[in-house]
Amino acid sequence: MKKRTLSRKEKIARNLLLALCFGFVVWASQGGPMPTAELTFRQMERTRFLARSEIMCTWETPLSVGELGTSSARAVLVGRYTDQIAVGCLFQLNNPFGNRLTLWPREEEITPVPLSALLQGEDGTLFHVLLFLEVPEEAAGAQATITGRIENAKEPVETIQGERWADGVWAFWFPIDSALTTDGDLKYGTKDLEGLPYTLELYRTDGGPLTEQEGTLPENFQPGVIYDPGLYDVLNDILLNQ
Amino acid sequence: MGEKQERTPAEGWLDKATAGIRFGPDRREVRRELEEHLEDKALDFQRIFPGLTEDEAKERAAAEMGDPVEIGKELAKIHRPWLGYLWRASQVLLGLVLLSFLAEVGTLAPHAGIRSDREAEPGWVVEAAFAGQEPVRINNYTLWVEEAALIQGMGELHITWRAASPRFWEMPDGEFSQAWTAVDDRGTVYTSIWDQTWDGERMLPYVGSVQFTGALVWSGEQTVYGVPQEAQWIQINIETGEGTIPVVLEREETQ
Repeated sequence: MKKRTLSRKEKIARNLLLALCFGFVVWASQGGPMPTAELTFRQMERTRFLARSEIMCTWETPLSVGELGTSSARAVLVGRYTDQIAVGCLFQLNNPFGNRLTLWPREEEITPVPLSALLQGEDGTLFHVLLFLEVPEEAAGAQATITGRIENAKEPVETIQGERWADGVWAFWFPIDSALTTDGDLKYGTKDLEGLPYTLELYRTDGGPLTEQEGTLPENFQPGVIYDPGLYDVLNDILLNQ
Repeated sequence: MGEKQERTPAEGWLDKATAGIRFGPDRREVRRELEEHLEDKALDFQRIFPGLTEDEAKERAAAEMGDPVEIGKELAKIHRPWLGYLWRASQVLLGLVLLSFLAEVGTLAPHAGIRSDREAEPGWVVEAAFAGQEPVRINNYTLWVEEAALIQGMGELHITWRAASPRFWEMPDGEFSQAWTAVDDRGTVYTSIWDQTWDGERMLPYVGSVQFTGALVWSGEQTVYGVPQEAQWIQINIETGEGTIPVVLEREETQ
């Protein structure tokens, strides 16, 4: 019996089907990378056994891949649970591994969250970024002050004006001044803002005060977050001996 | 020498008849078929008129086959180029995907699970075995404890987890340490926060995270530190953001 030859259309369909099947296997072997920040964040929730949160905010850097350093996150997503906040810091959008997700307690009023990743500005400067969540809608301006921050053996008192990322979400970018480096080897950790006292001042559209909140920034201890306890001993010794 | 060879009338006929087929492979295939047909006809003419040369026979055969321009128009209608290009594109796409697949094939084999700590330490003695209850479902995952053993004299409970999901490509990230806490029947609370496991003098009870490996059905080892030898049960709590899901491990009676 003569073997039937596939028509051209049948061959095309066969090739596309095979490409789809093998392509799926290749994609699955990579952990199923997702094409967008939000889908990546959802995947991070799933694989970490977290429920689906309500996404409050998605921020993505305007810098291209070539402009962004490897130590800076390229996207930040904030998800809200009843009593907790989930913050995802994405370094690679299409890589399900290597991105960072942390949980923070949700405060009764405004919730402060120090990001567990550095962000990079357009001029290349790296920043510690502090988020305040569930800020009243009436706030037209915001200012945050952190005291006790240690950076490169100095203890600057810094007040930063905030920028609104989304409804109720304000971000404060605290620059890391590399010019203060003494021997070039001092490093900083992404936990530098945690545990420090802060003051948040909110202003109305007319510039008048809206509300003020003080407190201590929460700490989030997690293996894998850059944290060099020995560094703090060195810095403390330097400060004490100044 | 160097002069352009003149095309025979038969070749010219074939050129005109196939000129409208834009997709190269189709054009060559159709030309080949027409050429065979032409040659058959030419042979027939040579049988009928033995005095004809081969070229004369072909020329006559071509004339008999009809107007090449009209034939070319009909052939062009049948052999649309887009289908040919699509076919070629599907071949290229399949080739690229197969290359990617072959490059990945070494990583597709199920990884050997983490060698159990107990297999690596044959000197360890199991104080007591603990058994898990029914599997729990979290998101798309089904999680269950395959076995758990309290090591004598070390206060360590070694747990082997299994996980499965219809999304078989999404291996769970058990190393997300904020997911795990524990408590036992003696009131001991086990933290997953590494930095809170040392009080300056001794290690505090601590529940480690889980590194899953494997494919399709994943396995992972977890160690709970500081478990009293007399513990009758221990409850592992998995944080979901909206509360915790408990997995109770009960001490099995020794026979």
